[in-house]
Amino acid sequence: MKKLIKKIVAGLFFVTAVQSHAALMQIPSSLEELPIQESGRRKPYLIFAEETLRTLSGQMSLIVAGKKTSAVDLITALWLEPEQPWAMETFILVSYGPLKTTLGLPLKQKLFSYDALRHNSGLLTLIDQAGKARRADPSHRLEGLLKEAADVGMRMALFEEIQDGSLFRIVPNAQPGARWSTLGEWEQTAPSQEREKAQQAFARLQQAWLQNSSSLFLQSLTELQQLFQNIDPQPVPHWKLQLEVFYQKFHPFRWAWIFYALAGILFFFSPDLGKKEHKKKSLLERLSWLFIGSGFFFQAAGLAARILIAGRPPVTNMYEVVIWVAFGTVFFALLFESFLHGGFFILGAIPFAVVSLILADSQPMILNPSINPLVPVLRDNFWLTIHVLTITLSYAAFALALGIAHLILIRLLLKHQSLPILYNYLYRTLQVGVLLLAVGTILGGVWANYSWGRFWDWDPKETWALITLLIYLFLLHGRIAGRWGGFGLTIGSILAFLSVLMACYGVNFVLGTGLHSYGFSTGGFSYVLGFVGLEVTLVATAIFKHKKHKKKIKEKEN
Amino acid sequence: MKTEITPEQKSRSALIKERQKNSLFWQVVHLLGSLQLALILLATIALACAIATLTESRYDTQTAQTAIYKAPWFMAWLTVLCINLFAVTLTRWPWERKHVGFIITHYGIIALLIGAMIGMSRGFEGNVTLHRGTPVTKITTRQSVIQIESPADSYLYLLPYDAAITRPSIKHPTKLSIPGTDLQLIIDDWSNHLEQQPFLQASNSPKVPAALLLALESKMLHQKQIVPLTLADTASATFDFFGLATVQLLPTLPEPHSRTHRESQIVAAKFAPVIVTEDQPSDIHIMLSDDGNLVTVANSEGTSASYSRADLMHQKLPIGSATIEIKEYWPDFKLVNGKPTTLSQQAKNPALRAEILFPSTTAEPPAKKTTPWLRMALNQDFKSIQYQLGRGSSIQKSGTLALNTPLPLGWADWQGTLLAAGPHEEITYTVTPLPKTTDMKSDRSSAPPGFHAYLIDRQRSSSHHSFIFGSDPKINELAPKLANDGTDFFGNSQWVMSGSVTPLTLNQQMVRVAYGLELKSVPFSIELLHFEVPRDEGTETPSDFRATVRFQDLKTGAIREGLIHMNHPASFPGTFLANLTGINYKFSQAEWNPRDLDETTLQVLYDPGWLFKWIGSLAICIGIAMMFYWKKRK
Repeated sequence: MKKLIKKIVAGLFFVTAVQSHAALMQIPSSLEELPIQESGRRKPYLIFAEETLRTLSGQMSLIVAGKKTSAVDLITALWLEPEQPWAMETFILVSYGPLKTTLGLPLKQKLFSYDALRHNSGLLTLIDQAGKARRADPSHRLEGLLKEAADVGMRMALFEEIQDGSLFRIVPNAQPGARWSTLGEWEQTAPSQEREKAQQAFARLQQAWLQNSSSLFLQSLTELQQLFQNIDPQPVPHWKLQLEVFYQKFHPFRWAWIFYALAGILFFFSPDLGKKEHKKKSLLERLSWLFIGSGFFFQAAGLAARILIAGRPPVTNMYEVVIWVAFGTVFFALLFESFLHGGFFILGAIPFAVVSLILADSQPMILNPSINPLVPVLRDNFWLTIHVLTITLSYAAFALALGIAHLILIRLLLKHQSLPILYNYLYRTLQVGVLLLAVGTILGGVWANYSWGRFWDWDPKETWALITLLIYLFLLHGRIAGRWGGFGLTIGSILAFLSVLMACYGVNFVLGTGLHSYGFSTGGFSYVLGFVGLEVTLVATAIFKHKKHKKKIKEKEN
Repeated sequence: MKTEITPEQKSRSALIKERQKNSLFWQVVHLLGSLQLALILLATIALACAIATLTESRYDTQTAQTAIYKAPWFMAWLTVLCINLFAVTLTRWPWERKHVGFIITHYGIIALLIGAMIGMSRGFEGNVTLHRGTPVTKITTRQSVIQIESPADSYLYLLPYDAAITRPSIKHPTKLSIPGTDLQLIIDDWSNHLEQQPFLQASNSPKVPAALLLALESKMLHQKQIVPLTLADTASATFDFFGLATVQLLPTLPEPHSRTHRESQIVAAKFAPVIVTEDQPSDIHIMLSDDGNLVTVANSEGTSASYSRADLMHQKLPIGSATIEIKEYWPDFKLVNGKPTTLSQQAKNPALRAEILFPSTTAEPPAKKTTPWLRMALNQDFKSIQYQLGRGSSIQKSGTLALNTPLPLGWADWQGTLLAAGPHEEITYTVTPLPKTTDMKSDRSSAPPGFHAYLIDRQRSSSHHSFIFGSDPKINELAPKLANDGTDFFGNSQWVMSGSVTPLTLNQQMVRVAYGLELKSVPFSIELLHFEVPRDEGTETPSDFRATVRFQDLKTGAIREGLIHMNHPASFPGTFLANLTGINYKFSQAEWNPRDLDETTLQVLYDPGWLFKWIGSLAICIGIAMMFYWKKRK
């Protein structure tokens, strides 16, 4: 019968168009904070709605019936107005060009309707093939068309779950760890009195939604919540729900990069740059320090919120690592500034921090900001904290070295002047990085000895951490041996950072083998390639100019 | 950075220069401990590792390990690194306070590498799969071994040997003497992936039942499998197609007979009908007029007739062999809370639900509800077979299939081809390397490694020409196989597959050869008492793996229980001293079987180098920190 109804719904879609009531009513905070169980975690409804829409369409809001509709409005409309012909609306993301070409879909269009995809036999064949390939060898990594088709298939399945309501698991289960129910599922087992109450409350909720009646909406939602309280009085602490909703709405990392960027601009034009001590700070400088402080505060607060929400250190996926490394870079810069004043460290750290944070803010399909349960091996806050935090902080120190190296090269290229003190700063920063990387890599071995039962087995991630360490050691030893001076150290810091990139990003996104597979993902390859290209060009230009410059000096001496 | 040079330091650097000039020993030390060598070592090791990771990504872990990580040259290079690290500390002699961090770090690396070497040579890594209630005393190591049973004394001889690392070839064969005999085992080829192919061999005995050989192939998935089926018993007459379908050989095919099917249709005037059927559609179309008063029924032949809806309600209407009954009617159809209802009694959106009963051809006995199947029976000429293709209890296709004609099975793009059939056939297997062109990794992972070998008679061959050891394989082919007395110089060559025992013969002497991972006996037994997999809430995703195990010392009988879960291994004997030194068997969670929760696979580590690794690690961390930040305050 359920199957039949589903098909009737599908049949109805051919005659009407969406006339949704979405975005007509302000969603009350009690719905935003309503706990819902999804993907193995209890989360507020607002986060659920935004994550669901992002998975479905890669967007935070969509245009529906000519109106810009937020995720929470749209998902609520899908929930409360299931009879609308949503399957005809373009909700589902197909981003991979070759896939669109293969399936005969318009290349320029990003979003497609469920119906259009459902009837695309080419897509269905590909999804089927992907499923078979996965069944035949679960460890096999899908690539290209098959992978993208499988992703689209997952989005379609998600859409189906929204449509039949099975995604909206809002009825708690008193048994810890058990599956929550949808209203419909719960009504089947609930005592008749409660069932009637729930049915009436939900009917009123729908009615309120259709009539845009905020007060009725709030009232019927409260009635439902009271029913749930009989099952489990507090499935999630209220402060946690409030904190997560606030965190989600506030975008602390966006504010952080805005403030950093402002501070960076002010610092760049600051006349006091490089002066170690001065009695009176100019207004401009005071302001730029205020901006830096605010940015750092927002970033720290955002990380603290994430730690409180997830209950673990914020280094468990690429999104968190990018933000954490940006934080570490600014942190080290501030630390150095506290006893080596002058602003160079801050100026070196800001471009990297801003670029990282903008990437994290703008590329949710590559850097997924969702908080999801971890694979079993990572569920150990002790090791996660001491190993992963150390390793990522070493990346941060190397990123700061990269920033300082850029400052040196830019000064050389634009002003033809070098500041010997900067080479010293660079060396000190590299020292921090080398110490942390060595300690972090060894701690990784000690952890692996417990979790995987061996200290070292040349897993690609371990090996690249070692390669990175060897490259930086090569750089420092070469300096000691007198093979290169400050300029060589500068060039080396930039080139060696490419191996950090390989250890951090390349192993997970490009090589795709080994035991650290929980971090594996795809996307962003063009950005990284672009970055590598830019850096190599910069280094080549600098070497060329430097040689020319040296020649000139020699000629002058002669 | 620059520090003032005190007179003492001056004298010290003068001393170092002096001894370097006068003593050959110090010259060598300075050469071995030179920064130049250190730079070369750092660069080459980094480069080699980078190439190895790319190799691993492009090919597989085995290749990367053999070519680089576990290769002798890499070990030698690490030894040079140790020498360099040691020599450089000597060059700074006599040491001063500022050298402390430097020395600790460099000796730390040496200690770590020594620990690794001890671990590699004295320790072992392995794994053990435990089933609840069955104590185990043997652990599968990572070390490949050859086991040879000598015909002289029937003893089993064990020899560490990994064909993938040794890479024997006709030019460079591996020669192993069989103890107590004049025989020698010659290994002249190897493969990472061997496959067993079945073939039919006609038997003279009339007791041997009929058999056939069927090739199942999917071009889309790049997979091909040859399946032998014989009428000997049900198990050997049935092939389970990855749990997705069943292939079966029967003496005769069952007669199809009929069964009634039920189909439900929701028909509306204004939208497309919704048809729900068990397995076969009826091909009957029902239409409803806009006012909901007229029902038109069309059968599969295309003839149609119209009826008044009111007359038809709850009446059984025969159409050909089918019966139609209208069960429900809604004038103003709407889904409310997922249930079909009518909003009003006006025919705004009329819809009805009809049930159709119709007979169809099916086969008995009914199989699992939706599993597809292929049934075959041999024809008397053994050049073709009768087949039935079906799903659930219905036959979808049947006919005769001739030899070497592909038959689309309707399971994705899988095709079946009859390769051979006969009235009295033995099924035998040949072992051959998998073609290098196979691109499906899944094929390879299930194909075990092995080597190619044969026996020679050492005495006879040495008294003859050295043709057996000749470098040109063609000479081997052409060489006389028989001595004057009619006995063989060398036996038939065969592929020896990992995990199975292969008999090799020469002149009535048989040597059993087995190849595979070594099983190591441990001085205790380990038994799985309880295994549990907690899940992420509301999902099937594991959040941990918890195995409770019981160790029992085989000598003393002492019992110890332990809990192994993620990041928390259990060890035996597990005392403080054992844990500290690594002279200890450590069990960590490695794999699980989602289909059998009474089974778990543990990684086992016995690492006597652990203390060195641990001290070295600590020294490196402390040493670097001291080098950078432990300075004399001015």
